[in-house]
Amino acid sequence: MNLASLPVKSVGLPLLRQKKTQLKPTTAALQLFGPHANKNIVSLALEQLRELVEKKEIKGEFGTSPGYVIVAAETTIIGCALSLPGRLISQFPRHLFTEQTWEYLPAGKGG
Amino acid sequence: MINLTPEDYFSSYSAMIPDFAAFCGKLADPLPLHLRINTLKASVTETRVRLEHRGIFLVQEKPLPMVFRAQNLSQPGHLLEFSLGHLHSQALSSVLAALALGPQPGDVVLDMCAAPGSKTSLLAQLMENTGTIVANDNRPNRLIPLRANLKRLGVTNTILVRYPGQHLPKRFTFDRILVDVPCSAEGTLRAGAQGTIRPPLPAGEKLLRLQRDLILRAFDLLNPGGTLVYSTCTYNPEENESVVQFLLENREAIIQPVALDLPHNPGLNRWKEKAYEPSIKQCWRIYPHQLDTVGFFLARVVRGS
Repeated sequence: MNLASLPVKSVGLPLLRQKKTQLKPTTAALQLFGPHANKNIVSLALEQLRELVEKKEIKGEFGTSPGYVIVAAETTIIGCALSLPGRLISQFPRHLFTEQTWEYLPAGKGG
Repeated sequence: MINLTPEDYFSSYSAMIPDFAAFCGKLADPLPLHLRINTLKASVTETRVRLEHRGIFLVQEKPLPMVFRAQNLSQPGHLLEFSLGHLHSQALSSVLAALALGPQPGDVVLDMCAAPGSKTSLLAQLMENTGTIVANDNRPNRLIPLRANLKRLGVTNTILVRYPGQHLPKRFTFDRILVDVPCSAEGTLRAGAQGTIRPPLPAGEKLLRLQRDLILRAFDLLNPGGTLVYSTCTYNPEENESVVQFLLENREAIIQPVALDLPHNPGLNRWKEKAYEPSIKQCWRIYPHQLDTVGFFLARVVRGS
């Protein structure tokens, strides 16, 4: 490989972001590597996912310890959320869902 | 600039394009929507089944296992599968450029004019995210969608750089290079509801010089035995066969056939007063009345070892 001295703008895929006290896995990394995870996964029904996207937070117990978790809709990895006692806070980037996204999903039919 | 009918705009190509009337007639149809299923993140079967449950049917473009024509879908960008990077909207002919290059897992590949990253991400898909792709684009505002697309599509084997492609340093060499050059983009024109075409800016000497400089530098960056694909989305022979002819006159390049089985026409023997090397017939001209997609030109070139 003769590319060692190539001046680069970016390399590969961002895996983690530095937050105040923790490292947060990126949405891109979770979508790619999340299927290999076997814990800290919260699987939501589409109605719950929509509530999480629209309200940024949903109440409930999700069976994970506090910290960043992987959110899946049924079997599809969507991204990251922060799990706190009694609630789940979305860490999804804004562009992941548009208003029209729901029109194409079964949960979106009829609002 | 005045809008023109396809017959008027393309009149200088009437002898060059087979069945010119059918060609002009085809331009009245809108461009079909093609989707590529990104196997770096999703399974072809599962994605098709999931979409079919929602009434979105994908018709496979044989012989390309990951490319589909989407029916009853106008805005793929609103699909969750698009946001998740399971799908990418990409013209069929753009897919062919990456396939013609034939990258193998572990290769070191250069995509010389990479933005917005459709072909780069397909190269990564074909390489199964192994090896290394250097994705170059000189326009800073084009690096933003390039980076975003590669991230969305889960591409991990790519290095982004920003050089004028024709000045990429010769100390870096590659197994395969895709040179999808800036062009007059005549192949993207469709007549729309008005039945007329807004003529693009003509290919001036500056653009033609850039295309020649890009293909020469790409050839110089190839490892011995390496392969490059030169492509445009235009019909203009000055931007296609003439550029390949320029390469043949200045380097020991070998034109190879494109090993794909899809409707196309051979490269031209001559254009106006200019005669081309016979091997240029192995290049591909793609016309929309023969293959319903963006009009395209492909040349596969090998550097002798």
